[in-house]
Parts: sequence; C-alpha cells; structure tokens
Amino acid sequence: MNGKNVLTFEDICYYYKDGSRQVNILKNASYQFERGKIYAIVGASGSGKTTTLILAGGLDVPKAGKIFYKGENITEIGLTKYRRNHVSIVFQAYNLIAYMNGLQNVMSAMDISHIKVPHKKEYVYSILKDLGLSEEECKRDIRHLSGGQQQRIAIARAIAKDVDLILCDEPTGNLDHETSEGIIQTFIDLAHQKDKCVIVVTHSKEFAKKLDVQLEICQGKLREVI
Amino acid sequence: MIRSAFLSVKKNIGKTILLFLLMCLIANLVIAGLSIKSATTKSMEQMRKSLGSEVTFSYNMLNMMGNREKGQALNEVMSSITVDMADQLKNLEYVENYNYNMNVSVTSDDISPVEVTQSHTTQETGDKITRSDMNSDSREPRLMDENDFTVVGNTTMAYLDNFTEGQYVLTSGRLLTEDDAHTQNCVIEENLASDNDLDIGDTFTVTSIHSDNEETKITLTVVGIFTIESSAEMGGMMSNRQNPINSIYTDLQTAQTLNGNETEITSATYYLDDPENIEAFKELAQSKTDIDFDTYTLDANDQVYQNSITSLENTEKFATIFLWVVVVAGSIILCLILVLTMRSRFYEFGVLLSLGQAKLKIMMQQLLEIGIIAILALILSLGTGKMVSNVVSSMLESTQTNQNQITMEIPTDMTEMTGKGADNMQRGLLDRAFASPENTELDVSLTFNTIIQLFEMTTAICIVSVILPSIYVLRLSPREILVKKEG
Repeated sequence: MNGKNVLTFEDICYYYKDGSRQVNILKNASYQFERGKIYAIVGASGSGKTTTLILAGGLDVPKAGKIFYKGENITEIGLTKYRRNHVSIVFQAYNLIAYMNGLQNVMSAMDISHIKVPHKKEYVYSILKDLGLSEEECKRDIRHLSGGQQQRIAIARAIAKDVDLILCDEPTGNLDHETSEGIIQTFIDLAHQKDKCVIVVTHSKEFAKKLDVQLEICQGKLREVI
Repeated sequence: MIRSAFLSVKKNIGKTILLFLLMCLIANLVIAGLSIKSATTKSMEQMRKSLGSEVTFSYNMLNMMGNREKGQALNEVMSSITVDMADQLKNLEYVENYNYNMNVSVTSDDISPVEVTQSHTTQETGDKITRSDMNSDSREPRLMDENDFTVVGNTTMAYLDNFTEGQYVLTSGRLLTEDDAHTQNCVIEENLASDNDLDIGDTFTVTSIHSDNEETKITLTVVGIFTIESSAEMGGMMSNRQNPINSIYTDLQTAQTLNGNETEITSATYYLDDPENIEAFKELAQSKTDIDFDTYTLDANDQVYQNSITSLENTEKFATIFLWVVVVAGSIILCLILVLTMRSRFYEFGVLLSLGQAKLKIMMQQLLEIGIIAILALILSLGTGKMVSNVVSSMLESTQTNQNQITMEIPTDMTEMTGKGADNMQRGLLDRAFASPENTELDVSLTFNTIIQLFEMTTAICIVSVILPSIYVLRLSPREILVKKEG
C-alpha cells in the first residue's frame, strides 16, 4: 500500500431497490485517494456522486466491497469511531444544529471528536474569521444567517476537527462567485499545505478544473478525467 | 453533551415550558398517590397494632347451633374446653402470653349485688328476694337469672383488655397474677365493695350450684378494688350478674372449683407477638394439635379490624391504581410530546451521528434535557405536591369516614360469635372501633421515602419517554435520517 493512501475503495458495489428493479449506483468501483491532493467527483445528477461521498464518510455501508482508511477497514474501525476521529463532512444542506450559534456548532463538533486545543474559543473564532465571518456573525442564531454564512460555518466545523480526510458535498453551491473562490482556495490550501485528502462533489466543471484530480462515475466505476 | 443539553433546554423554550408543566403535573399526582399510599399503609399498621394480637380459643357457636336439634338445650350440644386442649396451644410459635378464663354464676349470702332494677324486691315488704325464696312454689314470675354475681376466673389479670385499655382502673390493692393460683383471692368493683362495706383483706362467701344440684361454697378474700371508668361498660345488662359491677375476679382454679370441674375452662386467650402472625398461628394450631376445630374455634376478634381495614385497603388500592395510571399516562403523554418534537430533532440526530456522536450519548443528552426539566419540576412539586396530597386525602377521608360510620352502626357479624357471649362481644367490638382513632385521619406528610420514590418514578418515566422515541429514530443509519429530513 502506498504510504500516501488515505482512503481506498475496493470493489465497492451499491444499489437501491426501486420496486422490483435494482438500480446500480456503484459496481465494483475501486480507487485510492491520497493525502495532499484535492479530488473533484463530477457527473450528472443521480450518477452516484453523493452516494460515493456518503460511503466514504461512513454514513452508510456498501452492499459489497471494502473501504479502507489508511489500510484499515472502516467497519473494523467502527463507523461511529471513524466518523468521529478520521473524517469531516461538509453537507450541501449544511447540517448545522439549529439551537446553537456558529461558534457553538463548531465547538460542539470538536467536543464530540475530543479535540483539545488551548484557547479553544479563540481557535474557533480564528477559523471562522479566516472564512470571512465576523465575531458577531459567529454568535448569531443560525436561523438568522444566510446560506453562504451557514455554509462557511459547516466548513469551519470540518476544518476544526483537524482530520486527514475532508469530504464536501457541493460546498460552493450556495455561495456567490467571490466567496466560492475563497472557499475553493481554502480547500486547496488544506490539501496542499496541511497535507489533507479533500474530496469534493461538485457539478461545477469550472470548480472541478481547479482541483488536482477530477473523477467521474461511469457505469458504476470511478474514473479519472484526463 | 452537557453543554448541548443545557443549550437545547434554553433555546427550545416553548418545548421546555410544555414539558416542565407536564412534569409538574405528573410529579404532583405521583406525590399525591405516594403520600396517600404510604399514609394508608401506616394507618393500617397502626390500626393493626392498636387492635392487638389476641386470639381466643372457644366453642364454635356457629357450628354448635347448626348441630342443635329442634328443642334441644344449648348445654346438651356444647362441648367444654379443657385445660389440656388450651395447653396444646400455649406452647405454639408466636404465642407470647396467654390467659385462661372461666366464668361462673354464683350467689352469696354475705354480700348483696348492686341491683340492676327494682324487680328483685317485693312491693309489699321491700325485702330482697334471695335465690332460696325463688323456689318452684313461688307464684312470682321466675326471674331470668337467679344468680347475682359472675365469678370471672383468670390465669392472670395482667392482659385483660378492660384493665389494659383503661376502662377499668384499679383504685386500691392489686390485680391477680399467676402467683394467685389456688389462693381464693379476689378483685371486686368499687360500688360492690362500698355497698357491702368491703375493703382490702375482707372476706365473703359465694355459692355456686352445679348441674347436679350440688352446692360449692368458697370464701374469697378481697385483694383489689377497681372502678369502671367507661360508661359504655355499664349499659346493656339484663340481670345483676351481667352487670360488670357484680363481677368478681378470682384466680382460675377458684372459678373452676365453683364450676364443679377443674379441668374445664370457658375460653383461652393467646397474645401473639405480632398481629401479622394471627393467620399463621391459626394454621399452626390446625396442623400441630389434635383439637377438633369443627367444635372449637380460634377467633382473632378482628372483625372490627377487618371492617375498618377494608376502607383503608380500598384507599390503598385506589392510590396504587392512581399511581399506575399517572405513571403510564404520564409516560405516554411525555412520549407523544417527545415524538412530536422529534421531527425537529430528527435532523439534529442525523447531524450528531454524522459527526461521530454515539447513539447512546445522543440518548443520554435527551435524558439529560428531560432530567434538567424534571429536577426543576420536582423542586416545585415538593411544595405543591403537599397541597395536592391534602386535597385528595381530605376527599378520601370524608368518603372513608362515611364508610366507617355505616360499618360501625351495623352490629358486627354474629356468625363468628363465640362463647364469650353476644352482648359482651358486640360491646367490646364497638368500643374498640371507636377507641381506634388512628384510622380517622390520613397522615399525608411528605416523607424522605416518598421523595425517593417520587425521584425513582420520575426517573423511570423520563427513561421510558426518552428511550422509546429515540430508539425509533436511532435504529436508522445516519444517511437514512438525513435523507428523511431532506425529504
């Protein structure tokens, strides 16, 4: 196994039943994701982009095949432990906890992952500030923030966990062009400077082109777009 | 988790208030139920203690009347109790003390009875009719009872209810004990003593006539004088000898001698270590002795207890059912509220799971949130619960008092009546009923135990209310939860 491998898909199959019909999403899909790179998974709606991300995030289990995190089967690590300690996910719908403000959402995720840093609050503020949020916005009720602001808090939550694998589902989908550019650069920096493995699902070819590797799902398999 | 729980309680203020009010209501009702339940249990215990733990061994009058043929005299059917029979019972487990009793009707040429009515005197001369005057040649109507006195022989007077319960009070001398056996000492009533100028150390002779017309005369020495304090004891006499003033207390052997048979007794009373053991003692008596319990009976004299205890048992049953209803209904309502609010939390559960939070911890957070609300509700309820308890108990007491009044106004069940005599039995039971004030008021004060029980029940309700809806959600994978939310 290559020492840079973070995540490995090995003959992954995933399908769902639509009445009596079996709809195959992934069919013997295999791929190795490395640290220090940022990947874009592109493809048409319903091609299996989000499913790939969900399986990589341990939110569901494949029907067949294995997923390895740094050489260890994630089911053997334990999916809950895997999600807690090894992966961060940024959802398209942000998935923030409604009764917490931005700061509390990020700190709560750190608590769950048992991440201890000195001056935790300041640390979180600095991440949020880097993403363009003011202190007042961090303390504001989530429901009173715009989609873009909520998205940045979701990204901050992923960054604050300080894990080697970051998964993003349409992270710039709700952001204006200028903000999107900033966010893209943040993810690229995470991969290149912090040696993380970042996998981004996007329908934006423009965004995908800026990333290290473009993958598409074709006939249930993951293929690099050259 | 703790921070999140506090945040959730604080931010979801509407739900918090709703749950708080519901928890207050449940806690108040649980306190009321627990208080009443513990109060009735306490009252039942006190009543049982106050009514004593006596069991009387005597003739089974019910069976005897059933075996009697038409026109047959009672004494032809009756079987005597022997000392041997009674001795078999006194050594059984649970018996702490015992007393054998022998009642004999006697006359006396030395002393006059305290008259019940003037019917004993002739109109012309005012002379008292003695028993010897009342021969078969007399044209006067035959008196119901020719004997003026009742000699009441006891093994010891130490346990006689009238003395232990204060209806009779010793004014001079002493009561008879086991050491007075065969001594022919006696204890008499104050009025009888003063009417006949008797004092401690004086003697008088009594005469009994046996069934074979043989007379027995015994000279008794007065060693104690008592006074009757309870007016209830004075009423209902049919003749002089039935008047407790004309009762002469002697040792058992003297009464047996007067009866003409030194192996028989009228009844035996056994004082058990605990009222709870009455039934066990009866069963032991049936199995360990050769006494024929068709002819004889062991009577716990607990008809009043049984009658009085019924209303308390009903109250206790009500409190138990009430508690169950509150707990079950409370849990269901809490569950429903949590299920309804779960829709918004559905999403939160998914997020927490996706962040790697364990399912158990998610449930713990829910429990903590309910727990925070429950603790606040409990603190408030400790104050208001007392008021609710008082209101409910007042309602129950008024119902109970009415029931008791009805029970006590009706003469007690005569079917279990034994050789003691109907009048004495009925009077004794009624006196006991009215002399047992412990059952008239329920003490619904909050005890430490009640608070602990309240805490346990509330905890149980909270656990059930959190676990059921949580399991419904957490059985799903994070993806299913998030997809459902998004859907």
